[in-house]
Amino acid sequence: MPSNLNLAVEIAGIRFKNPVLTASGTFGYGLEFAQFFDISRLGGFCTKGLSLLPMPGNRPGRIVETPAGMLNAIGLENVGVDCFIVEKLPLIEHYDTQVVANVLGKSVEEFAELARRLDPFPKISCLELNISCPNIKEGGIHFGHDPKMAFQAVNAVKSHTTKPVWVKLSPNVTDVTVLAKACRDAGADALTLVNTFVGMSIDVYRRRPMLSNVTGGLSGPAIRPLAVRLVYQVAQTVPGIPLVGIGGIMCARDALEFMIAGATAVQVGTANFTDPLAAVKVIEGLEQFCTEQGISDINSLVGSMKDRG
Amino acid sequence: MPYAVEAQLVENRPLPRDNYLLTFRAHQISSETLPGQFVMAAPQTHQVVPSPLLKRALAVYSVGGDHLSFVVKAIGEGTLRLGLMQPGHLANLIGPLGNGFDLTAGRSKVNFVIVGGVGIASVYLLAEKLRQQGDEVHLLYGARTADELILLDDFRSLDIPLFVATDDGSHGFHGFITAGLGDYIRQQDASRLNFYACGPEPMLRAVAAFACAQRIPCQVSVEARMACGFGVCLGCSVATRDGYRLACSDGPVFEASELIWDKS
Repeated sequence: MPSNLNLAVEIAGIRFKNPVLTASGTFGYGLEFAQFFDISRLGGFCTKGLSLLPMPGNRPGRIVETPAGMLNAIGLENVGVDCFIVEKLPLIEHYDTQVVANVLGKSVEEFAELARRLDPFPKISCLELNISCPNIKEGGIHFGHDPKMAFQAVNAVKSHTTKPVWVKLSPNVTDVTVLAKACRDAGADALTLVNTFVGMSIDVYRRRPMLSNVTGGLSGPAIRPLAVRLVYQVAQTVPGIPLVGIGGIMCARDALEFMIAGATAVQVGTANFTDPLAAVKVIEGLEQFCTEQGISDINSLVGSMKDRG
Repeated sequence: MPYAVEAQLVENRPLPRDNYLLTFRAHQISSETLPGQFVMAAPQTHQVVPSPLLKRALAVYSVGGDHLSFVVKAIGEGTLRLGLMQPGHLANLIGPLGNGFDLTAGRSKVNFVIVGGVGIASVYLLAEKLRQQGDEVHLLYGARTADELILLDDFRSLDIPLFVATDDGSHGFHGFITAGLGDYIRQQDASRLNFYACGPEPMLRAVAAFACAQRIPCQVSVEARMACGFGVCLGCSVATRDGYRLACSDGPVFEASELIWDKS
């Protein structure tokens, strides 16, 4: 990387060496990818969503590929926050990258308790509240749909943590800006836009849903234009809070779209499955783009879209 | 430890019924692959968004030197694109993945390798290694019809007893392999038997039930849709007595007695 090029970004006082993170649910607890590349190259990574108690997840029939994307209904399977702290966290301690702990509660109290338990660990740079998973029947989803509930969850977490709090929003709402404002007003430090879109796929021979959960969350390049638009919309109408863009990023060009639309950083998700090195290639592509375009600071791209096409 | 590599296709041998035996030069993977392990594979493309997006999980059929082979049955877009690859083309492979069969269970035993359909593609290395460690191996191989019985010559050259069944009676025993199993087994001392099985779920379920009733140790290799292949996406869960486990990293081989078969 040319020495005069700055790729680092800052969100709520946390410095990321580059704006590329990997998304929750596509990167395990970090270690699985360390066998393919040095994960210290990442700006950061988001852990699999952590709940207070371990969760078994949904019945099999959890994923299916769709055009330019995939549907998943994993059902938030995870080892639970205590197991994460004891078994996983020590192993990622020495990686020089920011760790974002994605957490999910079924109640305001659970969100607060998760924040409290993770607060003592300096390796965790920030929390990302998953108020938007489409794949669990009880709990979770109403936080993502109800601005009052979202406000309460963020508010409770803020009073139990010293770390910056990001909120990952659902696109499955009529107006995402209402939720974005509620989270900002409750003290959220950043918004992650967006989680998966609810979709479904049917086996026409068996006339059964492809997923045991019937519906699942659509991710991958198929959702990118939808996600870019939501980032842009929130950037335009909800000022005063940094955004983290996510949705079908496969390459640097895709990441740049989100940044120009208004995201300070991005998350690479489904692409990690297509190519375990995808996130590293996005970082390299951003370096190359900036060098070629004579951009010395990647921050100058954030929200830089000009008015007309 | 798995490697993510670019591998060149050396040979594409078409087999009956839309099956292809693909051989790649992939020395890192081939030198470390154990029987029952698999790779994630996709033809290399310069498209930013490959179609399909995800690699396909394929059992390693055989290894030799720096060569690695797998059988792919063209049933959808991903498998068809693999099947159409020509020598010289490149693929992206990740592997070796999964746990593989436990060969120590087969020591000094009479090993029945029981397969249905394309399950045959998962067991060649197993049969070969069992032979190499000097243990008795029988192949019991069922398919719907005679021309679906692929790769039999490879197994014949291992010089092991073969018992073949077809659903339509066009070759060998007329009926499911699991129906022929009872008769075939009568020639054996049940206490010395050890089963390895791979095939469609109803077959695996029947073999597992048979093994359980006869108290025969039985390992089965299962199949599940997966996105990553190395324990991250959590898509390939399998119900076990120990809760959900992953076909990719806890399996694909499980003790038959561990599995809870879907009631549907």
